[in-house]
Amino acid sequence: MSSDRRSAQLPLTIQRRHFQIRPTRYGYVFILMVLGMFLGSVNYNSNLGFLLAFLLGSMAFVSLVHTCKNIHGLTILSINSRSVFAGEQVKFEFRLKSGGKKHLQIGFGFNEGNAIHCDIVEGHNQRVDVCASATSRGLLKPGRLIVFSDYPLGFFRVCANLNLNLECLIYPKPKFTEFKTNTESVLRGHEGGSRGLGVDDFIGLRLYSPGDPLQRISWRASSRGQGLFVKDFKGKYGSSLYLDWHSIKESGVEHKLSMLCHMILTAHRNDVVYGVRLPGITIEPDRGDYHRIRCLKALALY
Amino acid sequence: MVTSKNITLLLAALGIALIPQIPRLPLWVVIWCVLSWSYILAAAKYGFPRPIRSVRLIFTIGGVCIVLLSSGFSLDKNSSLALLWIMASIKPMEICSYRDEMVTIFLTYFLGVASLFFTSGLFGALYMASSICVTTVVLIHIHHPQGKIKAKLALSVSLMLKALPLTVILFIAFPRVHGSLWGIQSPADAVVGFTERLSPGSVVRLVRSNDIAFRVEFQGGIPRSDQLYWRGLVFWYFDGRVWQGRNNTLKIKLPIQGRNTLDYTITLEPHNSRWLFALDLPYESDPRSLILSDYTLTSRWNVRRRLQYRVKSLTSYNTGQLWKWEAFGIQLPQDTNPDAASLARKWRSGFQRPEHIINAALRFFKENKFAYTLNPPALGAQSIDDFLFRTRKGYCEHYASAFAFLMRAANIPARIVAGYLGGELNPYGNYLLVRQADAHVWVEVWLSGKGWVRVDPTSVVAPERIERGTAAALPPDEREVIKAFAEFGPFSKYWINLRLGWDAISNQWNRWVLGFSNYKQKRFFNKIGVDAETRSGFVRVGSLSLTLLGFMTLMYFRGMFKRSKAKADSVQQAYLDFCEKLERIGLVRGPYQGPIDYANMVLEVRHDLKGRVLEIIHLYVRLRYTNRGSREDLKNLKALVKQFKP
Repeated sequence: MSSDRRSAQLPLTIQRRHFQIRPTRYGYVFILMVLGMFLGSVNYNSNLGFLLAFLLGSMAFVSLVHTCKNIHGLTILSINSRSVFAGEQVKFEFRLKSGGKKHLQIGFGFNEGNAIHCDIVEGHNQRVDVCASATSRGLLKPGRLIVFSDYPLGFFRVCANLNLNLECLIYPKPKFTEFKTNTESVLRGHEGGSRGLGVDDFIGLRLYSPGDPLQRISWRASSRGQGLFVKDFKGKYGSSLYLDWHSIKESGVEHKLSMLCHMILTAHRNDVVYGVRLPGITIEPDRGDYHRIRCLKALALY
Repeated sequence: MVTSKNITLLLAALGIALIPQIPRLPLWVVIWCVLSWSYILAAAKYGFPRPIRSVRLIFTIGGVCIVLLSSGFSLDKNSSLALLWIMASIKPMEICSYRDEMVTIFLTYFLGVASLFFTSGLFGALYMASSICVTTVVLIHIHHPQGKIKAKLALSVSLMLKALPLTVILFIAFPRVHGSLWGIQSPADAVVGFTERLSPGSVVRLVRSNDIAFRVEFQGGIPRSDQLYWRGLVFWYFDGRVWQGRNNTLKIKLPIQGRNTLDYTITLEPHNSRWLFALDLPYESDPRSLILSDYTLTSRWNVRRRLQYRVKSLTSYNTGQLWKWEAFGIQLPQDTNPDAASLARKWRSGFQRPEHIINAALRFFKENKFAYTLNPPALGAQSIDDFLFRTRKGYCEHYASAFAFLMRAANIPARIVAGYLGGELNPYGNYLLVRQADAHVWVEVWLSGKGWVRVDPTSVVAPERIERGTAAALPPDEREVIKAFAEFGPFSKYWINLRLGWDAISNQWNRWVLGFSNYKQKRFFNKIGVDAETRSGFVRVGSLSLTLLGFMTLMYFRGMFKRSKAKADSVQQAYLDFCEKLERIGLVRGPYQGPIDYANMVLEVRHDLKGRVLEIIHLYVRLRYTNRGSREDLKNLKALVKQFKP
């Protein structure tokens, strides 16, 4: 499956140099309240008032220490994201490891207002999915990941703005269209017969390699515990087809890309050997997952 | 959305914070709050409708109006408190967001701390600290709704304990000023104590109170009980019934000769007046107090909070001559108490020396079956005559008053001294506990060559009063009135010990925490060798405390400077490192995958790693799941994982 990894800086452990500390709104209110108590104690010369005001103030300060420690040492092991079509949500999957303690109520998000919170405990690696909406095709750069915590008292927020160079490829939004090729052959949905193309003669079994269509796995062979095997056929590679930019009559670049996208998906689903022609780019006919991704990538980046 | 658990916890914290204030409030406010909170709880639990905005508004305005009306539109301490309660009863109705929760938390903190206006003793302080702790637990719960309450309680306690050193440093080092910042004084509460007038029955009122008047710590040993006359006020004027003090007692210290110095420190409970107490007779005192010409001690300000002062007294003394202004000591109202006056005149003509007259008067009390009682019969207009010749039942003020009258009528200068006699020794703190119940009144007469001499007519009637305290001197059926000595069944001994132990602890609290002042702060800094008065000393104190605070902060953050150690055993650690390396290239081990499954998954994608992956997995499986693993294997495993670079 496709995954664009940015492992350049990973694993990344959140340390002091990432910290941005600031009081929250309620932190300010609390500080004001303690200040009020303090002034009252000065006025009434109340030692117990001093004591309690200093106690509350010191507690807020100690809570800041806890907040820093709560986020300190948290490690991002890996990031995975899967390309999606425009209009969908991209899920960035973060694998996190605790720094030998509990990290409670850590917020993750691309902005603080829209973040998800989770606990990362010691022992096993936790997965956190942070979503970003993919509005248009191309390379989506959601920006910096903000990891923050205001646990335990909510008076201070410690933020780590992590520049992870996150990006994810967004394919054009598929738009239903008739399956038009340069050979003028037309496929509609599933009919058209996956049997017809490239599945002429069974040659034998070969070891599975990633990208082989699932339909061809020899489940009988794999059930014997010998590993995965794929049934190999002698295909009609000669009669491959091209999905051609120029054959689409609609106007508008995005329109055309969306239609091509739909056609690629249809072709792939039907296990057709296909190629793509875009102005200036030609992708030779092939099939399989990697080929499909190559074609979609070309559309996304066009 | 706010869960019903959160609302329950918030209300619980609020309730705990408010409990100490209940006695201060009108009953209806308490009932109002309880009803309101019950409804909120029920609404949260069973989904009753929340009151809408206008209903809340009506309740708020209504509550405020009732409070204001019932207090006559004067915002004193108690009615402001009632207003806060009205707020606290309405606010939880509208909790529906994080913001509301936080506002309620702040209200709870504030109200919890506001209790210090009513109670500042050790118990009250501990209670307020617990209330802060509970509120913090709820605050933590709001920020982390998962997890156990027990863990949150532990965290809250740990926060407080870690905050304690900072608090102590700030408390000691923060610059203090004397007096109030804007001159706003908290209105004083009525307290039990002496007043500026002494009339029959005014001391009996004190005796019924179990309140502590003051505590005394002696520098040396504690003197005998017949020396423990704590002098407070002197009364000069007599109108036939009521004794009054002098408004314009000279603020000069008269010379005294004497010996047997006693050096002691008194911690006085606030009584809203200026007089202070000291043993007969004080000759040297704290700079914050004055010794007046009648040898009473007075504070420069009304004693509104617990005051600690150090005094030196002489137990045998001679005040010397009778000063001109003291000639007052023979003033008597005309034509009152004729029988007593004629008795005194008879003595004056019968005896040569004043000492003999004094003895005659004391003998008169002794031989005429006078009784010591808390419930004396009412006295008529000629109160002294009535007492001396008719009722013959009275309390110390009756005896002192009658005795002073007789002396004056016999032309011997006399004045009445009010204060306390005795005190209870607290063995746990080695200090003397003087209660209101120890209130006492005696007489001073002036004798030439001796000066003012103390005469206690009560001692003739009830000698037990001096040796064993008030309760011992009273008839048995009256002893129960004195609560301090009330019996508590078979456990009374333990109870008394417990009470004395607790008082010893709270005495330390009063002394070191509540009694801390700019004066003590100065003394403390002087002791460590810094004179905080000077500019350089001030800077030194500041930098010292900042250094301490900085050091504490470093201690708190120290965990962040060193790497935490993983707790996994070394086999597990090696395997985890291996998995981590693979995860970095996107081959994430699912939680369901054992080592062999995982290896198969890895190999499907990265056939090129086959040799090394299989080697590592086999070693791991052998070490982890069979008994055949050796030390050598573990070493190999670690080395392989280290070299493994997918």
